[in-house]
Amino acid sequence: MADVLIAARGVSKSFGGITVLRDVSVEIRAGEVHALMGENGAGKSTLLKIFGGVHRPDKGQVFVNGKSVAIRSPAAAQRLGISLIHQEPLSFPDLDVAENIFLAGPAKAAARWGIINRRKMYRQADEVLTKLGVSLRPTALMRGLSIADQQMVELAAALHQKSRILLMDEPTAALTPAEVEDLFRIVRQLRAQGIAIVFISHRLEEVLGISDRITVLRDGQWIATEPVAQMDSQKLISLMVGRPLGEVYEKEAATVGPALLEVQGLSSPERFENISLNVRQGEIVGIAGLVGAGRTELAETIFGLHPISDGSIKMDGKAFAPKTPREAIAHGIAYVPEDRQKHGVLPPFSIAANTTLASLKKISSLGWLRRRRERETAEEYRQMLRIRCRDTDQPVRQLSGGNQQKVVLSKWLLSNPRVLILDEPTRGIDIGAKAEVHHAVGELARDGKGILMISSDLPEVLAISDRILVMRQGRLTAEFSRADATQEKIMAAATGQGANEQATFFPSSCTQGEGRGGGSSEKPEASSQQPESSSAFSIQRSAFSPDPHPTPPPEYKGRENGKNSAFNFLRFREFGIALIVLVGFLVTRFLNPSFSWNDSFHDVLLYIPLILIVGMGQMMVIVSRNIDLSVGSILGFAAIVVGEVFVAHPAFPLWEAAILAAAVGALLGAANGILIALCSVPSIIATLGTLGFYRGLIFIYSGGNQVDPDKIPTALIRLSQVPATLPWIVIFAAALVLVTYLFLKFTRTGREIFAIGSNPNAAVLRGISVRRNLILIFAITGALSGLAGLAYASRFGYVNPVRTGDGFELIVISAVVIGGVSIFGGSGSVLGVVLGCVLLGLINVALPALGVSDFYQLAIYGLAILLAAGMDGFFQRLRGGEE
Amino acid sequence: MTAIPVQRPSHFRNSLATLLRPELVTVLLLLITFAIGARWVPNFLDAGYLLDSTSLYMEIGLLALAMTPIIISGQIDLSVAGGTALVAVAFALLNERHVPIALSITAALLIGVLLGMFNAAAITLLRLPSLTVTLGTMALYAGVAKILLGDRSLGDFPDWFAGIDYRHVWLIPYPLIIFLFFAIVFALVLAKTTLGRKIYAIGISAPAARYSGISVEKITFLLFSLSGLMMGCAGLMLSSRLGMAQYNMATGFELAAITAVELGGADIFGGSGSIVGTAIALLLLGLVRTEIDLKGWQSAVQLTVAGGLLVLSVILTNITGKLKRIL
Repeated sequence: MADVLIAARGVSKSFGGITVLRDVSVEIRAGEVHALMGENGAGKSTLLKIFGGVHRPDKGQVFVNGKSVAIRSPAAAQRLGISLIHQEPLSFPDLDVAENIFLAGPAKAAARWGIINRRKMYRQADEVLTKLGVSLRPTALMRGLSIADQQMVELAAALHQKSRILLMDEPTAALTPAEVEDLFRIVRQLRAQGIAIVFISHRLEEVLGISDRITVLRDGQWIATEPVAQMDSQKLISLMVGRPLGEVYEKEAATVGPALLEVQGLSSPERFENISLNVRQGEIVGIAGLVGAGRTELAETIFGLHPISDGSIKMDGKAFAPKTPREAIAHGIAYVPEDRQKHGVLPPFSIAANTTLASLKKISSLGWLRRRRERETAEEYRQMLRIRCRDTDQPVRQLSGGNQQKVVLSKWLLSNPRVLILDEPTRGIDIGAKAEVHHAVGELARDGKGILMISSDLPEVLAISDRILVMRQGRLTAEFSRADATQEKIMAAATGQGANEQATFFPSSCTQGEGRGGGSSEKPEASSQQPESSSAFSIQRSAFSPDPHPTPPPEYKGRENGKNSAFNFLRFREFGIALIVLVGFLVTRFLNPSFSWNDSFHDVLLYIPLILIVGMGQMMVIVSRNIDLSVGSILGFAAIVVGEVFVAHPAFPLWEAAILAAAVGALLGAANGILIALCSVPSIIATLGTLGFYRGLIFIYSGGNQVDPDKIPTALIRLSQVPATLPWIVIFAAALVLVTYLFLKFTRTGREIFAIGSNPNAAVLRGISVRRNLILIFAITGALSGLAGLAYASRFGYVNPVRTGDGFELIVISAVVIGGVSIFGGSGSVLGVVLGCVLLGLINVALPALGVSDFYQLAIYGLAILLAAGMDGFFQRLRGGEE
Repeated sequence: MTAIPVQRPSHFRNSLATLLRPELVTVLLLLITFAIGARWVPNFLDAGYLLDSTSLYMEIGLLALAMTPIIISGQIDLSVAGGTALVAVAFALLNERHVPIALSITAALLIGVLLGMFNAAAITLLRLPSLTVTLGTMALYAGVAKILLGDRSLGDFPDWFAGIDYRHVWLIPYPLIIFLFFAIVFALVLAKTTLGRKIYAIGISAPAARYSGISVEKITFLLFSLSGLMMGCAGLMLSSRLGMAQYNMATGFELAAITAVELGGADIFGGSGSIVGTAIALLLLGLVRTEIDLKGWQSAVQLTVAGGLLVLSVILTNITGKLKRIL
């Protein structure tokens, strides 16, 4: 028998009083594909996350290679050779493929002493990808890759880390059949190398086809672990459900009334095309299809969330084109969204507040909330939908998934819609609650409402729909009556397999999309090679059989052209600013011939380095999705400390003064970092606090006294003066820019800073030490601010406790923002920041040269920031990067 | 249909959970500060003096009132100081040109609202982040004030307009009365109306609010316009109190206002906060300032104390938040 690589013994876990895992023991062996099966809420993902270091068990132990271990973090899991691939790929969209492969996990060959050999990195990435048989360019930007490709990159990362244990949480949920086959080819390859693969899937045929052993969990408990040879879908289902099927809610025959919602030839660019359907009174219309088929987008468009490019929507025979959900609601449409946590509920709000959110008029008079009416209303719906809770004042956050979904339902029932659109209404909720939701939906239909239900749960669709529509790649591909529909037919229409048969299923009304919809690139496969399973969960095997000539279907949401666009955009932007600087300089020169390198430009040269020195630090901070408001105060503090030293010891050596200034700054900066990283104070607040705190310390330290010009050593002043050569301060700033550039581009830490800003959650889950990095960059920024304090004393020849560095943070942030660093983190370039600083500096000197009062300077700074922000917003929308 | 039994929590737990509001830390800090003042600071317990000293920060208070719902809704307005200065400068210029004072006041308030609407338009129509937009208008507004007035200061207001802080109703100075009026209005709107409910909803999750039919853009627009109105009021109050206007007269007010809101228990990422908290925090900051003045210490010491309090309160609030989740 093969070695046991990882095992759970008696593991229990509960969240907020709800037990998710109860005394579960499982062993995973080397070289096996081990499937975890179970209904939603059975505890599969939790078990995977315990193995992956995301959660820690309340009770029980985890053994890796036979030794009991406490896996405290994803990073710790990776050190043990465990890689967890989450349901949604955890990628860093602003970094390229190779970096996504190399950043997470322990440093390997490409980096030595933290320095990345980029050429080697790309070569190795290419090797890993080739080994996997994936054709991805290592230099391609992650943003814009399909989910399947992002998954491949994560697999490549796991492979690169030499992981022995690969955990995959529903890796196939969002993939097309061809992509699934690709993935499984790689999984088999990894298995042959002795890697243990644990994976979760809801697709039975998939599981039976690829796994070696299957473990079934139910309600958080271990039910069985058996070799796949001793399993079949029937047995698997009964183990998972724990009761014979057939208990599912069966809808009674509907008394169908007139059409409520009529959709005719509806299209929305990049989402779906030419959709026609109608929903009649008392009718439940199901929409089946694979993830990404455009079903959710269709529902959201009817609900007013996306633009309509073509076609029409009618409610009660009257045309309307909703631009906002508000309008859709006013027309009697309600939408229970797919992503309950993100769009359905407000977790901190009470049940009552969530229930009434879409119908606030009903519980208020003249805009005034009537708390009693609110509570009574909420109580009424709580009873009706049997929501289990303490009382309606309880925050929704504390409820189970099923009860949360009932709160969403009560919200929409209260709004009294005529058409209710449900999007995956029972995803992630337990069996009991599921039946109750089905029951409630059935009653609504009986009351004469029209229901449009999107669901990937085929038994659910079959059990409660009167009619079933199928979508594939943004088009309607089939419509079945309740009596005609079978899982096989639906899957065929959803996957595009058996396209020839499809035509026979088509009723007359909904065939518009068919002509273009029949996938011509796939060939109809004979599904006879596998014995038909009689299970209710079965799906056509052919969908997952290897295609001799894999021609992946064209991605409907084609974003291929978006590759690398951010890089180009940044280059373009830098070019733009450089052009503005150049033109500004030439125009000023033209209008005022005496404006030249020799006199005015020398002023710029002395002004820019100050901003630049601090700007390099601030840039790193903003790239990491933080902000440092305290740089001006740190600058002032370091300047006063050094100044006082000069007062006491006039002959204090300059380089020691520089070290002192940097050390003082680093100390204060590290304090910021500790507050932010260890005490989890948001950076904007922590540094707002220390902005005042440090400024006050300057006074306490200096007694409010200025360090006068005669106390500043002439050697220091001379650093900022230029008889013939460049001032030292400029040389220093230039060197710093170069170092920062190299640091950000060629060190592991530098790339991690981008990764953290690009996707903070992914950074934690993929084992990047976010805290260490944050403390480091705040300390660096502090040190640079300290050095800038010394430069300030050199430049201006005095240090004043009030004025030195006051408001400096805003100038620096402005320069960084104008330089194109995204305030949302993850992107920005050193060159851009340099140009931003140069632009501000140019404005500073060009205005007087043009005879414009320098009173205009501040306003022009403001305009420059607004312009930069406006341009970025504009281009972001052009690139389709809307959130 | 059978009724679902309601599980009653223990009374103790329930009331403890209610007590652990975000404002709790602020109230405790206020009590401590007051006790320190009463025990160690001479002349601190003089009601008239204490009340009069509030006039020093009521402009910041007005700005903080409008900042509270903005932060609750997950946004930020850095332009309030620049806007306040611009309103004051514009008002002083109108006054210099002998525009009737009633008209000047109306114009000043209107300018404030327009400044707020400019922010609002850039944020909602162009969908730009409020942090960058108001960083830009912060410089722009103060910059326009500087263009209009240069670095001189301008006063010569009619007698009845100047010196608002010397006027009292009983012992209470006018600025405090104006602040209290607006505080009550803002507090009621936030706590008791559907608008207030929507503002919190947007702050918790703007997408979820939108999916529930709330017009996120309209409300955001309204909040930034309101912030503009408060810039107008603060600009007038400040020029009356100082008897003049200057382009940099409100420098640092934006950070002071944000400090008050944050110290009052609001979450910088939106979703929580209250006017009561903001008002208490403002009072706390004011008391600290008064105590330091009375002690004869440098006024800059208060910066240290205020900054320290801000950070401390966030850390303490984090802890109470964790406690609350356990309960």
